[in-house]
Amino acid sequence: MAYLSGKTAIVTGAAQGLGKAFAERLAAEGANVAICDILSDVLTVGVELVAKGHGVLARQFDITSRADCEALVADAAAKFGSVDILVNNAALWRSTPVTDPWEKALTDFDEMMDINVKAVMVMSRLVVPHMLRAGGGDIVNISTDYVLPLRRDGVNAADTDLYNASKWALNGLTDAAAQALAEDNVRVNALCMGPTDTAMLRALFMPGGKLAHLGTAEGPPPEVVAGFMDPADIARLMIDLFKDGRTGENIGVWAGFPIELGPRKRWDVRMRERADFTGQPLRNFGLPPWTDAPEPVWHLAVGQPSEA
Amino acid sequence: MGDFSGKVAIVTGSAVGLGRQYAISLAREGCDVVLCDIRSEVTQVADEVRRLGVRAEAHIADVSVAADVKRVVDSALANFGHIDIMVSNAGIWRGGGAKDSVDKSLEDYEALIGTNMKGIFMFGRAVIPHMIAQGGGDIINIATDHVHTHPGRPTAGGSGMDLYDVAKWGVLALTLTWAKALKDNNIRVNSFSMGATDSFMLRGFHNHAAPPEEVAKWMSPEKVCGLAIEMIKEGPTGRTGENIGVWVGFEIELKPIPAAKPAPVHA
Repeated sequence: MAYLSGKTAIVTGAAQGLGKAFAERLAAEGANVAICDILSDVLTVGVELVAKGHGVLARQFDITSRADCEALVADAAAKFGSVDILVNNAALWRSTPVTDPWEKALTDFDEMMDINVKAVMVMSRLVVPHMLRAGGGDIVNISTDYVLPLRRDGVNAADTDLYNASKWALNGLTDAAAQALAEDNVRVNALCMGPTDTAMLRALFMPGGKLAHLGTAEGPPPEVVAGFMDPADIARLMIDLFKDGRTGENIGVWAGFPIELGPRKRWDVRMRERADFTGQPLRNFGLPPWTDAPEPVWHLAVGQPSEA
Repeated sequence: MGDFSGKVAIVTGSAVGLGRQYAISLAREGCDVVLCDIRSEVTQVADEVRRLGVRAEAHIADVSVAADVKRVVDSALANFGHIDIMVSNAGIWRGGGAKDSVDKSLEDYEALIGTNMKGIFMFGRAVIPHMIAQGGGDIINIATDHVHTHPGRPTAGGSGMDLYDVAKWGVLALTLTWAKALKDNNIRVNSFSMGATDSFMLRGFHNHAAPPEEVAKWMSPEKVCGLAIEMIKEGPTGRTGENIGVWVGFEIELKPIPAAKPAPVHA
């Protein structure tokens, strides 16, 4: 039996890039997948997965539509019997220089926050009752290494205040939900990736993109692409994350470094990474009042996972 | 007059508590103050500020409403000519968490993100072009110690304040990004992450019935605002892009400006 046999996973933004890789990997691990995207390609992804014999529910809709989100979650639960995994992957990137016209700034705020934050909240709220009923689950928020930079050179490019804000904002959902749901066997983590070979990143190198001078109409040159991470590797890491059982972590994944979970972070280390991003020297927080996170819960495991 | 003579500051949420104290502390330094709040008492605080010998104007405005933000900033520019200091202090509190209904969560989202993040975003974006044009300024965004905890405390306001924290993490990211974007424009952007301060919000959290022994533990708004004044006085070579933690039981002080950013720790 496959690791996720009988389980159901929802992946948003699954038409391409990371979302598609997540859906493919989850299906390959035996899960039924409910996928959605604003792009019609999500239906093609669904057809491909059905052809491979997987249980699939594919819907094309805008993630900011509450009614469509509700229908997706309800129909997935009805069709497959439960909702065990939610991957909040759908997101919007946009350049938003601080000198933008007022009206653009207002539109950008609403559009970016609605997709990158509000929809994550809505989807998460919708799946929690199903996970409580199923006795456990996993929620993964897709963030960015701007939130967990490898080098302390500050956040990313200066023209992305809203993208940054939307991804830092996810800390609030990851952190509080992990605590609120810890006793319910529901884990909430975030993957904070550096450059990954996705449509979002490639578009930056195409005409009209902010890195267009480095690319062509086809996108970034091969030597640049060679530095990107493979979405399939990130999807593999996500399965490792489920098997590991940790919760409340931002997992850093950086190009040029091993794509691995790394040791569990004691909460005082997490705190330093997230909270002390101040330009101040790291302080000595002393010994934490409680020690390492609890042992992994193999809630999703049918067999024992291979040693990571 | 004080060091800030001739400067103009906007302070949001300045009818009560910490915002009122910011207005008064700035006025004592000689700074003209533009106040705004959803509460009508803001006009009385403006009177109080004027008695300190500076100019002041009060607006009843909702920071989550774009037209209100524009009205306050436009009026400040029309009446005072420039804006040198922006203190985005207005904020609200609501509880909420992972097990809430979608209906409640959406209502909380609109309120918390609207006031605590969009309000700060809009005021920042409204004043930044003017600060660039005039050649400098200071922006101070008020966050929370949930995003910069004191030693021995994990991040987040526990499990039941997720959307409040969402907004405040967003504020931190705005601070960091704006600091980076404006580092060559003589504009410094910092945020303050305070623990329990004797503010209107915290008194409201305790239904305005906190026992005196509890209140006695809280930090004084005057001290916290004094720290912000001290930071603004650092001037053009001052710190920027910092999220300054101010906590009960710890020294209320500015750490030295770091010479270089330290290496990361990813344990």
